[in-house]
Amino acid sequence: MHELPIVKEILNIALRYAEENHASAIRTIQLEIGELHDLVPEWVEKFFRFASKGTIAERAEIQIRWYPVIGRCTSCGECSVLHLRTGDELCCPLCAGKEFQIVSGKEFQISKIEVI
Amino acid sequence: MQEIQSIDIRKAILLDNDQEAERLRELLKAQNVYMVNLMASPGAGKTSLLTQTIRRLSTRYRIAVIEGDIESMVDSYKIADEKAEAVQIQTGGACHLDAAMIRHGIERLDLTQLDLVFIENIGNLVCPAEFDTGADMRAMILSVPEGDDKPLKYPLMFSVCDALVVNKADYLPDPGFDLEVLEGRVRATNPDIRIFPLSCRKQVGLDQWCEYLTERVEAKRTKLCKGEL
Repeated sequence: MHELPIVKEILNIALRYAEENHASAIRTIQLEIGELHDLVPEWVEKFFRFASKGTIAERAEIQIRWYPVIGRCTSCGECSVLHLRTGDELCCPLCAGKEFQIVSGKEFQISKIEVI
Repeated sequence: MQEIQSIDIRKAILLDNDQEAERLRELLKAQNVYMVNLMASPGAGKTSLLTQTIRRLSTRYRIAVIEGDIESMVDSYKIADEKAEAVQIQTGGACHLDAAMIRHGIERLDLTQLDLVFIENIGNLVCPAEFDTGADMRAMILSVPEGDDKPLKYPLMFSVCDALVVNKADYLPDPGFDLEVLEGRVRATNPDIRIFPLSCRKQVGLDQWCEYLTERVEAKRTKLCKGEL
C-alpha cells in the first residue's frame, strides 16, 4: 500500500538527477532493495506508469536488485542467509544459535539511472 | 543514435523523509522532549494502552498524543487525564505516518510545556515500519488474538522496534498463541527487543511497561545533561 509514496520519491530523485545532467529521457532506474521490505514489484510498476506519465521518465524501465536478509549469529558470530518467510525456525548453520543481528536486508536505495 | 549515459545516485529512496525525521529529533532534543512511535494492527489496543499509560505517567510527565489512527478518538486521552493534550493529523486515508505529517502535528503542540509525546500510528503492520517519524523509540503492540505467527509475516516491523507490548494477555492460554514461541520468533531477528506481556482491560503488567518508558525518558535526559547527545 505504501508503494505509491515510495514510487513518487523514486520518480522525484530520478527526475532531479536527469535534469541536472540535461537528459532528454530516462531509460532505466535501478533500485537496490533488501528483502526485509514489503515492496511489491507489480505495484511499483503500476504506480510508476501512472506517476511518470508526461515526464521524461515515462518510458523508463524499473530494475530491482534484491538483497537477501543476512544475520550474524549472536552466539558464534557466523553470518548466514535468513529465510524469514518460510515459517521455519531460524537456525545458525554453524552452532544452531537462534538469534541474529541483521547485517543486510534493509537496503532501500536508488543506485543509478541510465539516460539519453 | 543517442548515447546512453549512466548516472550514479546511491541515495536512500526515503532520504527526504529520513532528513526531516532527523530535524525533528534535533527539535525534540533542543526541547528535552521524548517521542515514542506506537504501531500496531487495528484493534490491537493502541488507544487502550495509551490511555492506561497516560493515567500512570501523567503525574510525572506532561504528555501529548499525535493521533493518526482514523478509528480512535482524540477525546479519550483527555478523559484519561485532562493534562494530556491530543492533536489529530489529517492523513487523507494514508496507510502510515511520515516525518512531514508528524511535523504538522508537532507544530500544533507547545513543546516547552511537554516531556513525552506519543505518536499513535495508523493501524497497519506493514507501511509504518518503513517510515522514520523522528521518534526516539519505536514500540509496537501485538495482541494475543492476532496469533503468534505475526513476526513471520511482518518481519520488518518486528525487527525495527525497541519494544513489543503483547496486549490482551488475559486471553492466555490460547491455542493460537504461545508466548515462548512468539519471543523466539521475535528475538530471532531482534535479540535486544524488550517484550511486555500485559492486559489493558485487566490492568495487569502495565507498571513494568511504564517503568521501562520512564527509564528511556530519563536516560535521554541524563545524556542531554551530560552533553552526550
